[in-house]
Amino acid sequence: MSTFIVIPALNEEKYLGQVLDNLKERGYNNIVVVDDGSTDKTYEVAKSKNVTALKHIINRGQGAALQTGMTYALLNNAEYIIHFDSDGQHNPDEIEKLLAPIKNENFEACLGSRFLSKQKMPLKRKIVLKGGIFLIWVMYHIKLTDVHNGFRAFSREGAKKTIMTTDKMEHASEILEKIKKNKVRYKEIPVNIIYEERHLKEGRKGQGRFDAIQILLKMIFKKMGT
Amino acid sequence: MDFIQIIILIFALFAFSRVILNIKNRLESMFWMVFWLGVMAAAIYPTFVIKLAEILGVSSGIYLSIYATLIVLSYMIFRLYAKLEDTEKKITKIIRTVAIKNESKTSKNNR
Repeated sequence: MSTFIVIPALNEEKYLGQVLDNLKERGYNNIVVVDDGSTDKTYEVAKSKNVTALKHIINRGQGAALQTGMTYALLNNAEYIIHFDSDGQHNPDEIEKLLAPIKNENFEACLGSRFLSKQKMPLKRKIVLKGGIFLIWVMYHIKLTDVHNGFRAFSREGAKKTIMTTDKMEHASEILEKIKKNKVRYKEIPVNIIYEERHLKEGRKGQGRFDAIQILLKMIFKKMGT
Repeated sequence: MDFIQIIILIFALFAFSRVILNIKNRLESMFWMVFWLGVMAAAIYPTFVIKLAEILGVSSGIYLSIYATLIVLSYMIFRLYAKLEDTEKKITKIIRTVAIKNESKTSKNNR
């Protein structure tokens, strides 16, 4: 059974190598790095580690990069697909924990949750995330404990039912919308996200306040049927 | 006829001719034809706008024109937004196809 790890990466030459080494050490060989138009050597780093490296010739956003990796994985007969972070925020030891309900309990998607694991996190981030949870509940009537966690697992069927059309950070909401709309069998699994100082610099990954407002507006427009 | 009426009439005629010369979407073209014909009618018979304003309960013809313009502009922004989103999606599709094709080319060459 082939498990594909999809890693969207933008200017991650510093940390990507270590992330890939950690995954390979644990026996994951189907790793797909999608370089989303980086201006540094992200693509070269991925290539040097002998993993599949796809290059977006211009930046299209994290959602677009994830979907490129998902499309590639599906084309290459992936049975399971994992969304994984490129800068070491996700723990590779938790991948099997995410996959277990899909493999053993017939779930189609497993979503990592920081709140189920009672993880400590900065207050500001906690408030924003709780706001996101409320918003997703209001807009899509799907009640979760964590809504913008990038650590996810899908079965092949689950991946086909959650094909993303949004390019940027709003893909996280779109996945949940598709899960609800296409009746994807999902489960939340407690995971721990590693917060080092470099991860906490706001806006580093395009999640600043203005991006949040933009995402909200796009969600509303999408809901209006544009 | 006042000078401003002539200017509006010429501009509306020009816009009307552009719509006819660039018919792509019938429904949309019809909308714009009716719109520009309305502008021409308003330029030739300003009393028509005043009458219409009275019927619609707007205090003056000028206000009616401003309201109509705002509605049309808002609609245009909405359409532009939708079109832009559509174009963005197409660009992503191209970028994705190129990325996947290039990878399969590279792996074939490495075999």
